[in-house]
Amino acid sequence: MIDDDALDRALFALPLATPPGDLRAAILRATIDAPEFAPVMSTRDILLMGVAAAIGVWLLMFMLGDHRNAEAFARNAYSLTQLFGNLQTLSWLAAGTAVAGIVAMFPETLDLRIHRGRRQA
Amino acid sequence: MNAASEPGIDDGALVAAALAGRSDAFGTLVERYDRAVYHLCIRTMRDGEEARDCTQEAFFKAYRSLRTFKPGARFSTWIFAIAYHVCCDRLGRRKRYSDAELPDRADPAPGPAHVAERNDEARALYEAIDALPEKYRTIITLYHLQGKQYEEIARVLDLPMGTVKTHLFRAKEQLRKALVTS
Repeated sequence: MIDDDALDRALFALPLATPPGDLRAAILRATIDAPEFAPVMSTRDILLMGVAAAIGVWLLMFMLGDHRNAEAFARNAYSLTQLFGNLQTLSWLAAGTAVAGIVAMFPETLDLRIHRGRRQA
Repeated sequence: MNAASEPGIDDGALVAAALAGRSDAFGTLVERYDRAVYHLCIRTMRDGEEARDCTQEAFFKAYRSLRTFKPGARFSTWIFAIAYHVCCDRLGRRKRYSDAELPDRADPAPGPAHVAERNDEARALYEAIDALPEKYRTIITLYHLQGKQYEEIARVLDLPMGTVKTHLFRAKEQLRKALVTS
């Protein structure tokens, strides 16, 4: 009968199996040498789409839940379209946007410095 | 020679370097462990083609989940555990097929490389190991790879230490009997 030490010695002396010659290259090709593909959409885009989808689903369920909800939604949507369809509202919006654009593009037109001399006078 | 491929650098530092974007560090880990992982896979699967696929899959999974590697753990234990689970998955899938659908490739004829590397004693021992039930075969293989580090073997197999010792004792007993009769 083989004793435990002899068996251990025999086990530890066993040669390891020889892997196929191209195995290492195949592993490296699948890992560190694999081309990295840029994601089609950024995380921010995916997040925005998720939020939009969630709001859409919520709105749909809100309207389907009760016919009064759907009516209220339609009424509010109509009011909003009326508001933004109004020429006067649109004129004010255009004026505000234009001023904001000018200030953003030409910040030097807005002189916000404190004039010490004038205050002393 | 770059810093990552120097033999003195320990596995933990190589993992850290790989996580920091040094892909050559992971290449060094592959160089260090591909043979041992392949050995574990071929002893578990007893099929060269499947062992090759399992080894590749194990390293691929390790690479993809490198961030989950706990600092201070042994890379060898980690990669062996991944490889063992890959083998178990494949063995489970293999068992789902009937014998008619999947040819029995459990005991393939050794290839020329295997014949060359085995002397008579080693061949007899390998044949005895191959004849063991799967759970004993894997434990003997890990004992061969990891040495007498029962804790590491228990971690790879996710078994209590007592079970590992019992399985190892029984596996050795069966091996001894097989070697005496051969």
